[in-house]
Amino acid sequence: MSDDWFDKSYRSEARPPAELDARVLAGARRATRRWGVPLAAAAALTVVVALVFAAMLASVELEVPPESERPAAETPPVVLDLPGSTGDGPRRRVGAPAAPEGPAACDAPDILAGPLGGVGRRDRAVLCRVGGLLRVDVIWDGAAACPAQLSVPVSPDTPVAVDGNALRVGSRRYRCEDGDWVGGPG
Amino acid sequence: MPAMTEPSDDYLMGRFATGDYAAFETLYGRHKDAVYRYFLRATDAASAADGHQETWARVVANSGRYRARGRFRAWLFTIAHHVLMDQFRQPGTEVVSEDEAVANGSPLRDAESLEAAERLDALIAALPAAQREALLLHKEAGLTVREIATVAGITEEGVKSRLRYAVEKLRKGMRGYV
Repeated sequence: MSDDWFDKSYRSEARPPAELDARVLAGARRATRRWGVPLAAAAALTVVVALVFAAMLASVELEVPPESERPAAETPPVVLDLPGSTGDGPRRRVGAPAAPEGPAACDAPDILAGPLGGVGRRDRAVLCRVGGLLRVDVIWDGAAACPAQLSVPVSPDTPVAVDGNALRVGSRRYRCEDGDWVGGPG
Repeated sequence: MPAMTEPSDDYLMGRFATGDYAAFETLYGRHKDAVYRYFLRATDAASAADGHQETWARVVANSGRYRARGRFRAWLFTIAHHVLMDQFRQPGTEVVSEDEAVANGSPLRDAESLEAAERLDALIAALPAAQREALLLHKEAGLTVREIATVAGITEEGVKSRLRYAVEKLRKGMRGYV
């Protein structure tokens, strides 16, 4: 619509009152302050994890076994014995890809089931809490919707649940969209 | 030396989602007027302020879910549309209606004596809500027909029809003024 008569007469000078601007901006400022604490903690945790990992790598390099004693390059799948009190029916054993550090690194391996990759699917999320970091290995029901695994810095007691086709971690929801994990508050 | 370019809305949303408050200030400054006028032309002043504030509160709350696809304005006005629909459902919300516009003392009654801008304001206020919203999403928000269809949840043909009817009514009403 490019009518001159309209553009000549259309008034668009109304602005939100300053008091309204102040209310909106104050709300945003409060929100960023709330986010600031976990973001800073996550950054600090990342640095610590990186340092620990670097230290572990350095120690491993000092103990290189002979060729004949080295394990096979490809780690076989590990069967996790998972508790059944997580909304997934009776206690069951689920095969999950072996993590480099092995399942023993999980403080409390857990499993949730839900349509994380789309309606009608029965995907499984294996929750592995290592220190303050939650790693989620999803066993996709069919083709992998999100190839990358999900790592979330959270406290060990943060509740995790399947919420529709999203994974709710504390107050944040993570969804697999177009091959990527998308997460945020709410 | 390359020319300085303004950061995109997508970039600012990304910054804000990581806690950069200044990014939100810039974003808000860019779009606040259009959002406010969108509500102001559809409701009374008090409801417009409420709708405006609620819209931006939802932007803040959902910033982590925003996907950077160069369509922030469409996303923003989708939120505003939902807020407006919520307001319409609430009892007591003052929605500008055709009946109101032609009521005693309204601009329409004394239209002949008003300036063209006031006349146009009154005509817009007198449009059916659906046509008025399509017009405002187009003029205030600068959304395309396709984007309006997504925001309003109707077909592109439906949007075109609403815009056509709205413009036709305004054009008729503005005869003799411009």
